[in-house]
Amino acid sequence: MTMQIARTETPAERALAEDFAARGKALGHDAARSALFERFRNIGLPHRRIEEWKYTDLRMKVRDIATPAPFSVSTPAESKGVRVENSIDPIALEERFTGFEGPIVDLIAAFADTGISASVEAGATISDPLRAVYAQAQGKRSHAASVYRFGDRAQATLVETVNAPDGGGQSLQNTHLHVGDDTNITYIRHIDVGAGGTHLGGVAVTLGQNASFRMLLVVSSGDLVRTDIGCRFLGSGANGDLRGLHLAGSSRHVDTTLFVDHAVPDCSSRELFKAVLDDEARSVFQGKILVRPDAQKTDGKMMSQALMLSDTAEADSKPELEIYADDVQCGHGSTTGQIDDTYLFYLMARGVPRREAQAMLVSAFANEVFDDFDETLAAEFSGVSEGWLARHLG
Amino acid sequence: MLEIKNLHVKIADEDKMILNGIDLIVEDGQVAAIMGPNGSGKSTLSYVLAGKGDYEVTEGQILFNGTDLLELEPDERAAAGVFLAFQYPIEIPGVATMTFLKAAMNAQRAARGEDELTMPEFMRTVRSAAEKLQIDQEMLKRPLNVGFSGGEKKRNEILQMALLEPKLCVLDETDSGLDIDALRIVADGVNALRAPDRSFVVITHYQRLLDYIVPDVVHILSRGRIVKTGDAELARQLEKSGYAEFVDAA
Repeated sequence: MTMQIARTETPAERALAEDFAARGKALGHDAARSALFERFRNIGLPHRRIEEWKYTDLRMKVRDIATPAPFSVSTPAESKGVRVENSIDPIALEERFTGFEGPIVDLIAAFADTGISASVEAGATISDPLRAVYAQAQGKRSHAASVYRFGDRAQATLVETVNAPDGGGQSLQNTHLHVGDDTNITYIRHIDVGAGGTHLGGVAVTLGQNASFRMLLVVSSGDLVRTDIGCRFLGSGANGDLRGLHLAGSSRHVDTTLFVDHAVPDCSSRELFKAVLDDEARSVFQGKILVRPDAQKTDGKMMSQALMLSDTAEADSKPELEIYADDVQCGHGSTTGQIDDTYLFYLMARGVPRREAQAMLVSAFANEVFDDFDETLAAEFSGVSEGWLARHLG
Repeated sequence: MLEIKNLHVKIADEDKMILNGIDLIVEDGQVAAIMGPNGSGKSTLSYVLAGKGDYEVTEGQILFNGTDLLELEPDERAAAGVFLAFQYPIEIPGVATMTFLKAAMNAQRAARGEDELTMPEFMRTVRSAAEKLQIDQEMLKRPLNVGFSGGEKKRNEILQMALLEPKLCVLDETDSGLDIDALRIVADGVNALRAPDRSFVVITHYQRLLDYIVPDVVHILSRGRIVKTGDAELARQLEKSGYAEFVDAA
């Protein structure tokens, strides 16, 4: 016997339902969209009793729903080998797999009124990074779902930015990356949604055979940011290098929840997620590596590290390994600490003033996520991190 | 140059006293060796001079050219001209050696009211100083001390000393972990910096280093006090007889 416990709808959930009912037709919403919304509505905003949302209780945290307004989307430029459409691919609404499913994925799919569908031709090498920007108007609520397909042997870099001015607002955006065989793809996701901003979203990645995929998530602003990353290995010999950097001060809350699914043999994954935290900020990293029975010779290593600049910041780290194959190498680690006094003393003993020495050490900590990245991109994003730091030290 | 008066020091969070009333004067241009057995307080003295936070001075004074050194932060001491060559130079991953050297040199120049070095000036200065110490340019491209051998780390300390041109150089067991060739390079580097307006405090267990860096005066430290002072001959005598008689005398 299953027992249905009646759930009380929160004001925020009610507001979403009203908005969906009122605007559904105007947005061209059909039965499929209604089904997506109903699926969301059955569970509602996820709360702490749902394991994946243990540290980020949206039912408590999302009190109000902002007025809707579409993202202003800037799509990557088309070029030889690159096709871009400013439209929503059905995959963006339908695709689900472990690590990329649940009420927020459904909510974004139900409401998405903007999105990018792009593809990079098989064999194409795109030298300039493809750049997409989802700009949210101040204090509004925007939704987007995008799909990128990278054909076999393609080489490309994609940089996606979700930004918003200070002053609140809610940005919800998901991206699906279909990465073909023998590819070399770099994906950078920058969440910069301003003071008061909320961002919910994530990335669904599928990797083909011998794909080489590298990802960097940088969260540099936003009061409540939750990113779900689901990475599925579909072909053997692929390599996924997933990294992230949370930069958070005041009472910001930044959560990245990651699921790496090794379903096929001979793949490797590296996860390095770092957080620099000041004031009462809280960083959450939940990372799970699943190694299915067929995924022999999997090589997976996950590390999360937090550097605290204040005594009141909090870092929660929950790494998990679930292994069903017997010939694998997997490990995880987690560290939380403050600036090392012995390092600080060494730098100061050479005349470097305290503040500058601290900045050097924090940068050294954060910059590890840019190691081996293209120099221009590494400089661009270490600039983001140094800008944040300049505002937080001193 | 340096005047230490009745210095008493303990570890900050413990009751254990390490230095029990050190009196020491280092004249301008002097090379003063401080020798002593393990646990006599040699490294503590060097850390207290540089301003490490783990110690508490319970009594006494350190005057550096008339300034009360204990009132200054470590970076202010460095800017005033105090340099500690660490016994164990630490590895700092992620901080590029060149970035660090530039930050250190410019911070000290700024403290003295001088303009920052231009990039070419900086490169030229570092290159020439590194060559003298037989430091490979490749080494300077690595993060600070990361993956350096013991000898490379010590040479890197002397390189920093040469670049920062301090007035008081404190060498904490700079000879430890060095083979004889590395010892000679390091000693030559130190000797090249000897000048009438620059003093050295050379802390060592062994007389060996003092064959290369000949001291003007030798102090023996035992149980946190200077128990004997003499010339270079004292160090040689010590090498033969050991510390026993001095430790007992304390």
